[in-house]
Amino acid sequence: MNAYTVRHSEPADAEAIHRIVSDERAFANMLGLPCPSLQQRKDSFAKHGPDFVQLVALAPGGEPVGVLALIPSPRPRLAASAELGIGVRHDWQGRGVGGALMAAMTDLADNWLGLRRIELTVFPDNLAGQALYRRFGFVEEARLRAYALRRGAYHDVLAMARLHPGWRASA
Amino acid sequence: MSQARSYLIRAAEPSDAAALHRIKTAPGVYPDTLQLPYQPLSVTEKQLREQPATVHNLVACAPAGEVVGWGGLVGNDRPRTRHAASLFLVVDEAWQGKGVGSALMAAIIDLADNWLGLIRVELKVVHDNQRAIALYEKFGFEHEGRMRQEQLRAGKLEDVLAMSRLNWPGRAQP
Repeated sequence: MNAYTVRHSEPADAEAIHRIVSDERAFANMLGLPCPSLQQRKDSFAKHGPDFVQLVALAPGGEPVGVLALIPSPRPRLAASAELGIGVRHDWQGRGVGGALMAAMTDLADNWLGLRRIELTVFPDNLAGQALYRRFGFVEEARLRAYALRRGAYHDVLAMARLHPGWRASA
Repeated sequence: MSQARSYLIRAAEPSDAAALHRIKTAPGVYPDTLQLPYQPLSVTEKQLREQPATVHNLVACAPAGEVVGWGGLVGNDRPRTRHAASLFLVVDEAWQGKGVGSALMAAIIDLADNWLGLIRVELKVVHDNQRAIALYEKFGFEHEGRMRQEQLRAGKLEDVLAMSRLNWPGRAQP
């Protein structure tokens, strides 16, 4: 798992991220669409606010093969909450890329950003995703029915969340 | 709980800003929403002036014409969740328990089912807001789960319930 370097994304990563999210084995579970636009991916870097966090995991050759986004909520009363999304290129799935990204993300969230609550959604049949999230302290909180379209059918998703270890202890 | 009264339901207009601002920031209303006690009027004015096509704002008016409730739908932007929208609802604190919420809910559900063709209408409600939960249940919303310590209310982090109502629209005959 230490084989992957994790750093913040840069505009020059647009093509590598585009390649990750262009394959159905990645975008199907990420609420993406077929044939995403490379230009929109490039433009997205200019639109991100100062709070936006996007990490990439680099394969030994230096190419980004996994991407993780942490989007803080703008609502003050959700008090240091953020939404998490993650994707790994299909030919690198099952090789610890997600674990490397999640380890970097939880360190950042817990120890440097002070995020209190991180939320995500995952399809019920994405067992590898759920196992990864559970390993990093996420707990299932709800099953949202007919939440998203995937390959022509409406599927439920599981809502999972992770509370900051310090906040959880004082609850 | 609700009495049989009739309220006029219409679209929220920019000229409703002052009334809606007063309703949503009232001490009996804002704690169970995500609103803050102190907000400039310009926030509400901007919200009503710049309504995206995916947002549907309705108001309920009492017989004398004053605005006493506000509710609607916020449609999802992401293409794979565009069949769903989030429901919101607030009722003037002096008019709660008088059928305003039911009147708005009936209009919102009609809009969702029969005109927008939404499959999923979802909402979140603070775990102990019994009156709102009962209203949502009355309109067919089912419980989906409980988000732990999701929102700050009066200095305490409260759990929030996720609820939704599904409707699979009938297909027109070819």
